[in-house]
Amino acid sequence: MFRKIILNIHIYGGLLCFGYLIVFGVSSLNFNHPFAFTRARGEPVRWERNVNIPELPRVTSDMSNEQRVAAKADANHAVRRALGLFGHQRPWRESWWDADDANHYHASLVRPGVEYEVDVHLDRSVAIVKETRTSAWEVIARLHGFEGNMPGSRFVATWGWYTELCTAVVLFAGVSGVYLWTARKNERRSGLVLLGGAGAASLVLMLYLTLHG
Amino acid sequence: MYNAIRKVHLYSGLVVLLFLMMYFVSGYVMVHRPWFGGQAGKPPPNVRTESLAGYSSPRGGGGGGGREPEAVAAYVVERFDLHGRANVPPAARQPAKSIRFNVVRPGTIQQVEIPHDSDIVTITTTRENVAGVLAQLHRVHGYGGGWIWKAFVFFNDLASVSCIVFALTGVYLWWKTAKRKIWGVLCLGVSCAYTAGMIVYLMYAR
Repeated sequence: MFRKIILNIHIYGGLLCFGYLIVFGVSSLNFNHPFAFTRARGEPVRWERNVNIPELPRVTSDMSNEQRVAAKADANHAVRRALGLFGHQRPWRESWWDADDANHYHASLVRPGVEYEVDVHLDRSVAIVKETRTSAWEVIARLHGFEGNMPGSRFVATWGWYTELCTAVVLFAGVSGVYLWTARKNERRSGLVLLGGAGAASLVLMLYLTLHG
Repeated sequence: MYNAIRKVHLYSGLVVLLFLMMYFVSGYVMVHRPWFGGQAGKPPPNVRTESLAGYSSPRGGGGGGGREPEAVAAYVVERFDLHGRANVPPAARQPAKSIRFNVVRPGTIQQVEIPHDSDIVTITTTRENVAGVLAQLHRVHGYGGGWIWKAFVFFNDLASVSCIVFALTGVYLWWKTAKRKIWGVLCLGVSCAYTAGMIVYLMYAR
């Protein structure tokens, strides 16, 4: 009975994590093999929208670096909300107030799949957006380990919960797989050799790399 | 066919078990670093200075001060016994007044700086706490460095492929053995629909 329960959790937990395992495997391979075609980007598309953003946070010369970054982050999120977008922003060199035009702010917004460079003209109440789409490869890579922080999108944020679930399932499946395998006498010896040998090699590699490099 | 697929599912799992567990555990620690102590418990950086006296560079390599960054880095790593993988920015991305590079291994970063107008080598060694070691083990990628690094990254590739192999062979094994398939179809259907839907949404949503 206990074995059957373990087997069912192993099977159905694994099926529930099928999509995540494919994403995880493909993205991990891409990190080691960043072929050029996986970095392809679409042609930028430009569009405009009327926006009304009263009191967009500004930076002043007496601000510390942390204060500037915080102000630009607030400004970027205000622009993001005004445009109805979701995602993150880059409050460093990528976003800036125009030194020659007090009504012009450049916001850099980013999320898996797309980048937005937005020029907001407060005097005309218009935002001019340059939108650059990336690729499925980049989306898959960014979903790897994504913990669920996605301002403006509750749906995308659910991936963080899926990550937690699949982490627990994979760890359980690894341990339960060993337990389920040991029940079969004819496979024990060969499995033990593989597990012991590969496990020892893995451990030696990790320790050697960490302690010696 | 069933037995062959089952053996693939079983034996590939046994081979990469420890590596895969390391990746999932270290990934979890990375995502929830504050739960595992955050940045606490890290020893203070250790700074030591050495001298490049006696080093003759292959001049005119495009590096600042006439020193070629790659050549200097190789010399410094060997002479001062720095262990790890060297990350040496090319000359165009070096600071204006010095050569700067890192020698890294999981848990240890050695930052090296050599001003153009001096033979003084400053080596700042920063060590991580346990969570940091795991995070940096997780981030090792790209074939480069010595044979031990290549072996580690090869195991990384094996673990990545195993995720895909487990998923596909696991579906086959379930299909062949399950008497009532409805629950499996539901689990698999939900997983595929959710994952594909998420990817498509991110690709096309505004």
